[in-house]
Amino acid sequence: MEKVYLRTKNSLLRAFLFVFCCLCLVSCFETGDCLYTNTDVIKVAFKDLAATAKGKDVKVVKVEVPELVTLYENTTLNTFGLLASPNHTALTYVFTWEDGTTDRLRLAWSYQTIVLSTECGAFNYIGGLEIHESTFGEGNVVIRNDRLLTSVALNIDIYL
Amino acid sequence: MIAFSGPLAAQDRIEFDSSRYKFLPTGIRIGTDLMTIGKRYYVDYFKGWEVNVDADVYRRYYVTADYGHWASTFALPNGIYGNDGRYFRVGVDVNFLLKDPDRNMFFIGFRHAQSKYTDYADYSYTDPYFGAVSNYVKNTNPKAHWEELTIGLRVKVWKFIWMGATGRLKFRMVGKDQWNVLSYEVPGYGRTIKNNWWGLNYQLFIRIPVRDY
Repeated sequence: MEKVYLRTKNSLLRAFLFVFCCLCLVSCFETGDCLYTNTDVIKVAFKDLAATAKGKDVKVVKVEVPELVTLYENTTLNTFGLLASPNHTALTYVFTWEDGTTDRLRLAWSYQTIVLSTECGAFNYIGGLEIHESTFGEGNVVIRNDRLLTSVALNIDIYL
Repeated sequence: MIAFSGPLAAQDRIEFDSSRYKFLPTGIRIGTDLMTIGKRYYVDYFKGWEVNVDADVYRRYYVTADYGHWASTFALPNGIYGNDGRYFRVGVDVNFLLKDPDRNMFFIGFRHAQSKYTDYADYSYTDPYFGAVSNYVKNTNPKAHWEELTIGLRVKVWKFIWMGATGRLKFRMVGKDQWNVLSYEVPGYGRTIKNNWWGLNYQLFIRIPVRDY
């Protein structure tokens, strides 16, 4: 009669069968975290060119993306946000100062889709922030962090 | 199968004789993963198959290779994510039941695995500033590789048929060319949300004898 090998009395084999069952159970409890950490806001700070670590209050007449959105009007900015549109890979931001002059800053970025989990869904994450054009002067716009995450405190310093 | 049953029956129980070891396998086991087949029929988001081969090249050492296809489609609350690809694993198993006359195995092994696939996400969401955003993004040729520590059993159930279970600790997964979508799942590896991942296979093998000992 053929021996039934799966009904083993070998304690070593039974021990490892038990381990396999445990591995199955552990896998059942693995779930993803539903935490969306991307933001559309590019966090910017005006800094004093003479005292580089110090923030600076600057009065602006307008900060806008022409033909798309006006972000700020007749206000004083120190730290503020520029919106990165999920429908574009680059935008030009125009700053209009009190004396009527303007400065332009063109920023570009890339997207990566991240599926947080099958329960949470897929979302755009923005990264790879780059300066494509600036009239603020050579070296006066500095990227501190190129990823737009809620946990990032500052993306760009503008020295004035 | 009938052709193989004659010589297999004759060598059903072998005697241990260390002088007869050579760098040639006594047999080649070819099998498939029953969990992959079962998953294919019992869940609607997965299609796949896997072929497993191993051979005892020298004493307690087995070379082993797996090749498989894996395609998943996940419904998301705001769209869909899918992948489709092929993967392989190659490695070595060390058998700790060397003197078992029925060639049962308890083994620990190591694998190197690679996967080539495509994946995509088609989804929409409401941006707080810009309203509805729709996206279809695809990685055309992403790749991934990882390592596995394995532990498992091969048990003879009847004549030339073996059943097996293999547990896998998958680690050091490195993904490449995932520019548009960060791959949520890599064929052969699983979900990428963790640095390490467990896998489990229940396998059915047919053993083809190559030589007597």
